[in-house]
Amino acid sequence: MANNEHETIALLLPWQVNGRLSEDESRRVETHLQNCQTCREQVLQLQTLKQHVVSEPPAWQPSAQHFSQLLASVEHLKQAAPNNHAQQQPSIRKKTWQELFKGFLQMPATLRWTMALESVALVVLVAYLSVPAKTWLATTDNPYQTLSDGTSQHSTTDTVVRIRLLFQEQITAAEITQLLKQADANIQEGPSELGFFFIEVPQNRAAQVLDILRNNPGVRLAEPVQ
Amino acid sequence: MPTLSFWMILAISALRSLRDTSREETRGKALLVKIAAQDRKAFEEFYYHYAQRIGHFLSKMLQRHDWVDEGVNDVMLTVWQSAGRFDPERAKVSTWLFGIAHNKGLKILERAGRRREMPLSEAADEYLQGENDDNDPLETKQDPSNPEQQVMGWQLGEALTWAISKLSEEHRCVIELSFNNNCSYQEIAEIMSCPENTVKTRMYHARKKLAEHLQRRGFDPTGQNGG
Repeated sequence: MANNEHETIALLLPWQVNGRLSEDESRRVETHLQNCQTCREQVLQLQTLKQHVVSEPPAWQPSAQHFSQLLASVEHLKQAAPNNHAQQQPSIRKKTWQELFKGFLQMPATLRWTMALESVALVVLVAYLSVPAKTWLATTDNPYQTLSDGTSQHSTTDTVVRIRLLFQEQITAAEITQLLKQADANIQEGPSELGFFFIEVPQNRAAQVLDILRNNPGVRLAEPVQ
Repeated sequence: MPTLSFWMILAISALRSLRDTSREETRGKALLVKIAAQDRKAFEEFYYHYAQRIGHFLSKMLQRHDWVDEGVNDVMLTVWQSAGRFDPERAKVSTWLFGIAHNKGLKILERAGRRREMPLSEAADEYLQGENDDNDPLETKQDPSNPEQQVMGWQLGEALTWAISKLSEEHRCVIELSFNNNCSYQEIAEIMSCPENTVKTRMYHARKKLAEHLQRRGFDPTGQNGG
């Protein structure tokens, strides 16, 4: 019995040392300690261990840079969230199609044939319209050009890099304007809820622009969006 | 009979460890409510208040600085996403947070294939015996025949750091949570998702392994100095 009590108490000693035992447990430990030299020695060792663990300098420090990266991850998650939602859509649509098909089979034969013929006609019409459109788009010497054509060529995803920007809170509007002028870039979007702005620059200038942005003390974070 | 100084040390130690956590807890809960409403300022305050402790804990658990950056990032991301799900009736903010951190830490270790499973019995605890011991450069620094050298506190501290680093991550976690974060064994059980008795036996084995490691460095586990 006494041995059992000793073993039970010995297991509780670390939390007697950190002061986190319940009142009942603590009283029980104290009573045992009065008559147990071994446990008293254990307590002293545990105090040394606690002192050592507490006195160790912090092994990791938070930083503005780490927090900015964290905000970028949050922003990334937010942007990814609608995509996740979109990925769930096909399963919903699949059910709808199955239901539609069941409904289709239950229709009277004449109505079914009419709908089938209408569908074939629709497919032929779409095919007719899409072929010349493709040829037209593929032509390089397109005689028609709209004002937006130039920018749309620029904003093609494979030639443009999107950069996520987070400014220091104390930066002024004038300083941002000056910085964007220096980087020869314009804000395309922002600020987001988390304070991010987005700019787009041609791929061949991305490294240079990132350098300019990152070297500016008013910028907390500048990173290309993956 | 124990001396008066023994009881005084014990009382001071207990008093020191009884930090005023209620104020911190109230603040933490209030911040989580704001974070659930996607408040960036509250998130930033929460980060600067807790990240260092989480980083320190993960650093002891993972023992790789580059993994700690990732781990803290993952923990805080989870806080941002799940703050609304925090139930103050079920756990303290720090318990909830360290639970997330412990989970993320395990995932990082598993991904890296570095996780050491806990032995189920005391006999199996020998799995640590002799691990990298032959190649330990610190082993030869200690001269057991020189007691004067050993009584120096910094040497014990150095030996303790080394001995703790030799433990399994679960043993290190129990020590870290108990002594650096002042967790009760019930809180540790919640953080590590294990029964309370498992926490007690893990601590027991951790202490046993520490004593063995220290003995091999020439420190007598029954006293602070060896020789």
